[in-house]
Amino acid sequence: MDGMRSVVGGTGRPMERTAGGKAGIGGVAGAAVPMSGRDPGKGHGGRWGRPAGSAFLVATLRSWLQSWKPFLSILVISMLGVAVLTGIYAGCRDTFLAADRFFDAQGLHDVQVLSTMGLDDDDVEALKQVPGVRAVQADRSQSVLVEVDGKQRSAVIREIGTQGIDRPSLQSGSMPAKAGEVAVTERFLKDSGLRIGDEIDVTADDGTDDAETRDGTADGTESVGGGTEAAPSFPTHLRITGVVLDPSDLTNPNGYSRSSFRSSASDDYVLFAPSDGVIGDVYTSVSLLVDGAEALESFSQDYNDLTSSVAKRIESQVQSTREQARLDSLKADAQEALDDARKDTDTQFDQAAQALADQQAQLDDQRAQLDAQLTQLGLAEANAPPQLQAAIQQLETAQTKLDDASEDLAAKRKDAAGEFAKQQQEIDDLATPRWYVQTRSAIGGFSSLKSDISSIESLGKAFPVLFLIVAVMMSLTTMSRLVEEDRGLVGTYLGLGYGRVTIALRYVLFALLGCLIGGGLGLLVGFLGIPAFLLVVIKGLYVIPDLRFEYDWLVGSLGVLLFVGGVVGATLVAVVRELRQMPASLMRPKSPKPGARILLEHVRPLWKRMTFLNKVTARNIFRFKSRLIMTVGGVAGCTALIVCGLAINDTVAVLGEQQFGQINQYDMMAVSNDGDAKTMRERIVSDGQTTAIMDVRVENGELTNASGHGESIQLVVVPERQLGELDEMLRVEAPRSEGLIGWAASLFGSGRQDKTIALDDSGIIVAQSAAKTLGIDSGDRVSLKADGFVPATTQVHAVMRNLLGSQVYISEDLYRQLFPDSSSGDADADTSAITWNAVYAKLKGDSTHQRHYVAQLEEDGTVMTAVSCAQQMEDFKFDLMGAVVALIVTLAGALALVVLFTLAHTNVSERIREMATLKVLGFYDREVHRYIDREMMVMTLMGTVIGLPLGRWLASLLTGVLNMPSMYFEVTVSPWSYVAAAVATLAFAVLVQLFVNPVLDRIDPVSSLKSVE
Amino acid sequence: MAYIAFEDVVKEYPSGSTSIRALDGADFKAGEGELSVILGQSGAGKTTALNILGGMDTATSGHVVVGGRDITHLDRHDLITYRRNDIGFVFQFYNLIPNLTALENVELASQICADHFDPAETLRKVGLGDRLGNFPAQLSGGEQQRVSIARAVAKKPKLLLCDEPTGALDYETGREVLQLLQDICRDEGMTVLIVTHNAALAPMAHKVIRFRSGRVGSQDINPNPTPIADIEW
Ligand SMILES: Nc1ncnc2c1ncn2[C@@H]1O[C@H](COP(=O)(O)OP(=O)(O)OP(=O)(O)O)[C@@H](O)[C@H]1O
Ligand SMILES: [Mg+2]
Repeated sequence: MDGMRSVVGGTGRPMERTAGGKAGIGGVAGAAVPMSGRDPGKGHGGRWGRPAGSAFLVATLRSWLQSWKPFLSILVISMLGVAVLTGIYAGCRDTFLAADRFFDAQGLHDVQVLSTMGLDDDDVEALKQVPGVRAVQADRSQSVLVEVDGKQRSAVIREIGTQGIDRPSLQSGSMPAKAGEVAVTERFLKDSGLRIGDEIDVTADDGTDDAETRDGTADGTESVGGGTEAAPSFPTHLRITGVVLDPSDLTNPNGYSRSSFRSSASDDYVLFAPSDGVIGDVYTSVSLLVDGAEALESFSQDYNDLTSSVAKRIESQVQSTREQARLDSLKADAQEALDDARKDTDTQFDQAAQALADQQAQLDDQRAQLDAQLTQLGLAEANAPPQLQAAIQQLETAQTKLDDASEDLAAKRKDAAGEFAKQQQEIDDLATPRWYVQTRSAIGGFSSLKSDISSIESLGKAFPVLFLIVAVMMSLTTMSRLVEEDRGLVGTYLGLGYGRVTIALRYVLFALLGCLIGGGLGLLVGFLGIPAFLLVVIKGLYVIPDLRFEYDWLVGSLGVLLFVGGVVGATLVAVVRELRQMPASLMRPKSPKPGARILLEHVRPLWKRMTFLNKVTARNIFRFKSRLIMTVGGVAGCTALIVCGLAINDTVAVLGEQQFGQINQYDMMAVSNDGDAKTMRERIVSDGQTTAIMDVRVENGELTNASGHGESIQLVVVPERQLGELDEMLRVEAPRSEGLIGWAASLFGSGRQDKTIALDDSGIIVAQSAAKTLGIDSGDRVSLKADGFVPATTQVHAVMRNLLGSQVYISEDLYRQLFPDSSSGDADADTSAITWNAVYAKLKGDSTHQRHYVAQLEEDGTVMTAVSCAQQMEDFKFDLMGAVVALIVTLAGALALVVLFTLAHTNVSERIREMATLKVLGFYDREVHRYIDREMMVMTLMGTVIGLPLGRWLASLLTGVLNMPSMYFEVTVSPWSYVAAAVATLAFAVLVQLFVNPVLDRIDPVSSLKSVE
Repeated sequence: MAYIAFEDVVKEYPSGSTSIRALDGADFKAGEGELSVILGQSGAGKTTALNILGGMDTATSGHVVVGGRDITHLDRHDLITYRRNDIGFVFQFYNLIPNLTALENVELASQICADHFDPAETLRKVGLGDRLGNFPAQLSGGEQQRVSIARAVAKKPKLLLCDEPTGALDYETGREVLQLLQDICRDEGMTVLIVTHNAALAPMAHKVIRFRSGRVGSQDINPNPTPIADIEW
């Protein structure tokens, strides 16, 4: 550097004079940052003394060392940016990969076929022939009741697959091998308090045909009487040999998710038994592995496409033929049995008739003998001796009996014929079995994991964009300043004949180095730090074996590249802007920004009343337009990020309260099995704890939009006579408008109208949280499938404000109309076709009292589930989101700090001369601080004021991205979040001032004002 | 007793292992209300001396007494107070705050002193009465230098220190500025020190101090200073 500097230094004086003369107040460059050097006097000898290349290099390196502050800000900003870009993604990817590995290791089925009437070997054979199917496994399972903690709970015993599909993973103990042994999940042990080695008794759960199990297991099989096949049946006395992890349910039983809003979804315990001891040759389901699916990542679109295509193929190629074949074979079996029975009965009847005939003949003989005797004696019957009289009497009694018997027989024969005809009718009426071909997305554990993690991932995609924008803005500021400081130097180099590229390289490499080091550190944080944090939370929610940190070369490199591109691009813009000028004009200092009157000055009364320093501050703020924009923009961006993070947190926090406390006006929902519906209702009524009750039918259904995308929903059928009462149990109102308009409306409180909607027979009401996922709106035509029925098309009457759950409300009449065979399903009663299996009720007492009552009610055997809204409200948690939000807020805070620091540094270094002048005039240190700090503070305030609403808006954008099934994020921001964001930003500004003030103190007026350069 | 006493002042700048002696026992005096001119080669230590006198720097050894007050060992805060109340500086480069009008630049200085001249009045005196609302960029170099002088003078300093005030100005403008300084010295009775390279200016001063390699070579007293108007160079 010395060598180069000497060119300017040695011939310095005349040059300074002309320069100063032209430009007036000296340029600012050399003063503060030693980069452009002010080694006085010496180095004259160095002019030709060193090879230019190395001198240039040395100068460059020295200048880099001296500009450590801008270097640091580029580094830190790149680090934060790359960390945010990769971190959330990496945490999610680690989870997905580990889950995928586990699924592959356990052979979790890709496709599963279920049937309402079970499946047989021919079905299995047919499925094997479907192209793309790699392996097929027939599964047997049985619904049972098992005592858990003193209560009968439903459970499913599953045969451990023989083809290695859906293998549970052994956690401790040993796998069951013999009949009578069983493996259980950790949740079962936890809930029951049992241990390995303990024994349990199960009883078959003779399928009161409830909504939960209807399509899950093949309960249908048992109703088909008389066939030769048998539904699966397992040993009932079982010894626990081991604890296993079920790949289809990774929920962590020890984590906090049990109490989260999802937990109500999966409620059956699963017990795993070996094939030994299982009786029955009807399969509950057939599980398939798809060719090439193992190589794909289970949560990817490719995987989804591949498995769906096989599922579609099964549906189109084998489903209907096999359904028909199964029906035929069931019918044939039943027919055969019936025919046999009929034949048997006929034979029996014939034999009985024969016996009667024989007896008649005997009787006739006797009668003939008696008559012969009488004729011999010549007596009339009336005068017969007493013995004969008695004999005649006997014969007559016998005859009457015999007549009665044959009459009896005839009646029985008729009855039997009637019975057979009825059975024949039943066989003829046998409904076609229905297949359900499902992919992994039908596995609750799989899809909840997928949607949880995907939503976080989508957050991770949105935030880095903001970081990138801020990073580009900051590097533009920093590098422009750096190049500007070096104006003279750049001019000198150009004058000496150095190429523009060489000189530009000096800055580009500087930025590149900062960006690369920062990016490298960012990758470390992104692929280790942030995932480590996220995995703690994810592990609390899910049990995923072998969860480890994995690096993704592509995303890692692209992430760094993105920031390198942004930062280096900004640097190039800054450098090229300077380099385009001629060397001579470069060597003259840049004329300082001229002052100008600002708008405020025209507001005379105000301007007059401002103190002198306030006027100066006001002018200075508007003097550097680009700095104003950068600072206000940067601060606003960071404040917005913080608000946005807190807003998401607030939104999630009030979800439970809004749903369970406001939308759900009822206090309790209780569901029973169809058979127990009446008993349950009676029990609830007799308890006398309710103030209002409404009967409904709750069942599983599926809603499909016009483009064929379907989601499972909870179908709620509302009785015709109680349609009007629905809005007493639920707040049925239109969704609140989103975005700024909705927000502005909510600011003015009741300015918004809570438009209520009424359920009628014209269409269904869809919960907003379900409608959003499917993208449907009122007036749309959708296909609705009730449990066990063929889908029917109907219209969406309205979408209703609802945040959690995916309810669809339908009136009784419309339900009957859409699913007409609902009346023939029930054999005995055409009168009450729909069983009201659930009640909504309002309860007496406070929430503790209500929770207590509902818990007590749930103990009742007739009650399948009873949920208290008060309890749900208390239990609602969404920790994963909270964790990510905490992460984002922290990173946004760090970014805010760096931005403020960078801007403050640039601001000061640009105005060293001004500060020096103040010091010469005799300003005390505190006064100099105030002169600068006041500007920063005002700009920070402006940024904060803009950032607060911006963050609110950003939050609604982001929650829109978080498309989670059965959840709707209605952006809510607590006033405290705004306060917190503002306070944090201002605190950062103060913190930065504490850093900057010593820098101001160190400005030496003597050296700063010495020369123009 | 001289108003300014610069006694055997040494100023060393550490430079690596050795040190540079900018002042090597400089010794001079200047009287109150007088205009003194400091001459010398480049690097002779003129600016250094002026800075020490102005409380912008401190002497390594020796004594600096201004108006009977020893300022040699003032601490940072007291030095600032000293600059604030007793010193007015004029530089070769005018160092006006670009964002403030001429008037405001002067106000910037006057508002921190309890006892000061009226800024507008001061500007009028330096001949800029009709340019009060102009920003520095709208003024010529000479005009800017006059604002800068007004800014220094408005504080009613005991001592007006000028380091090559005409260095960046053309001949005529330079003369005008020097005339202004001479007038101020005469009218306000202010003690003025002017550093210059131009030996031809010697006659305008009450006293001429010559620097040579960090020392004072000679001090000539001029009982009848010539008005600038009568000096040609
Ligand atoms: N901050 C400093 N560090 C090191 N040496 C310095 C420093 N300031 C001045 N010097 C040295 O002190 C000596 C005197 O400098 P000074 O600026 O006082 O000279 P000057 O007489 O004002 O010269 P000129 O007429 O060129 O302005 C010079 O040799 C200079 O190199
Ligand atoms: Mg000098």
